[in-house]
Amino acid sequence: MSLSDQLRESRSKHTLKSYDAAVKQLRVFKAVQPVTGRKFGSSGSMQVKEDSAVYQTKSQS
Amino acid sequence: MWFQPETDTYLKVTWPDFFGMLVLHRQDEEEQASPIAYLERWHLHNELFGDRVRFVGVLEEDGRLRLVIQQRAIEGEPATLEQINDFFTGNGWQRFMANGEVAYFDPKRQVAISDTHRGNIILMDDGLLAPIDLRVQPLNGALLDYVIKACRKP
Repeated sequence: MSLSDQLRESRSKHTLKSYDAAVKQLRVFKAVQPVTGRKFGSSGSMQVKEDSAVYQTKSQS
Repeated sequence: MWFQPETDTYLKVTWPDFFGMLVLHRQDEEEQASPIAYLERWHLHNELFGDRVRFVGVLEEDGRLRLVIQQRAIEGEPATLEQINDFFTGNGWQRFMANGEVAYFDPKRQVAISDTHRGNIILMDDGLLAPIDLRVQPLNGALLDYVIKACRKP
């Protein structure tokens, strides 16, 4: 079995299923992030105006 | 980033007109990834690391674009740097330095990854590591030659 297949199987067995666990996990992972400027991460908080447009696209995966 | 309990996924939205950094870039190129490079990165991430990241869509904000993806949430703890290095080198990736940062190269697929810090890799309880947010970049031409040489350096 390839690494990708092993990881796919393992990921499906280790799905995080609760909001509280997600909040706790985000805190833990944020604590070990290197201290860097914004440019090192691509995602951020969403501040979307009401007139912002959302274009639905087909799934990529 | 938002957890969505109905699907056990995180929704991630890029900063406006910012789609992450490349692992490597030529001197005459931008160091920031294009929207297409950002999507290619997630496509490769799915292929290499068994993830199921979905492209959800595009937000337009004051004429600037934000890309939205959905990623399954994985239970686990941050892997150690030693575990991370062992995981990649044990699975055929060659370590090199890119702009002062640790990076890895897969000579079979000719793909480079970086941003492999502890906050981006989850140790699952079966011992496998689940990368969740790496820079992933296919290489060719001069960049490929550069990385092949960099991997030979002790």
